[in-house]
Amino acid sequence: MTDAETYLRELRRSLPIGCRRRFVAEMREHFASAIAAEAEHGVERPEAERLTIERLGPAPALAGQLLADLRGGALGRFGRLSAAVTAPRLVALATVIAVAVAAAAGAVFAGKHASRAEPVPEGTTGYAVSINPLTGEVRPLLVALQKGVRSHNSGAPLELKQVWVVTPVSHRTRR
Amino acid sequence: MEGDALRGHLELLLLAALARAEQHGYALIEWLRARSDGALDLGEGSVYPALRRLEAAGFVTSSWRTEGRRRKRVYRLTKRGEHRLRSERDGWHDLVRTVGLVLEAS
Repeated sequence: MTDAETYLRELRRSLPIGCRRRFVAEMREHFASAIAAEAEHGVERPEAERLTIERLGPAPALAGQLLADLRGGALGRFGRLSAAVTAPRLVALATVIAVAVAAAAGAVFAGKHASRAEPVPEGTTGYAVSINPLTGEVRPLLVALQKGVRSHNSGAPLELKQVWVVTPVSHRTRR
Repeated sequence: MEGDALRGHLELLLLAALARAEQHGYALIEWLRARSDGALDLGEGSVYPALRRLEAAGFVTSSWRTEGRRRKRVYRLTKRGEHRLRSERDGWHDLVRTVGLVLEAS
């Protein structure tokens, strides 16, 4: 990787997402123009890149100038907004959205299964149990529950269809 | 003349350069350097943010232009920029005249 490419990569990393594309493209063109101009004076490409970087100053400092303008409002309201959209913040936002979507999907899944359960008939015992909303795994809970009810209710069997499946964990008895 | 001495005047210089013709960033820097016989040693990194400020303020506009296999961001002065340049230029002449009067009197 050349010095210019390293510089542009560092610049790209230092800039907010909203403005990095144009700014980096413009600086890439600056390098191309500067290298071409130096070549006319017989300067080799690596040396031309080094001179250009020296005149531009460090990439973080250059990005810092643009960021200061963005945050200070010198580049308008949109500029200030784009300064706030950084890669780590986008990742955090995407994570929150993914968790929310997974939770919503789990809730829908759980609701679907709950609606299939039949009402608890009179004179029998019904229990509400929780399921894992992400996997829908319910059978181990039912088995455990059935065992518990047998020992607690003088061995009266509990049919699976008499179990209400809801979330979160709760306990219900009807006689 | 180095960067610190030019701070505060960079935008005026860029407006003046663009009043002559539309140009891309590197050409602007080269033109200013040549026009001042190399005396203007611009911090090149400060030119591009300054151009963005001028654009956000409505004094210049910019667009991509393809030249051969390269794409260049070309800047041009707006009407608002022309007014701004005129008023900044007047302000500069007043400042020079005032400072000159004081220096000559000392």
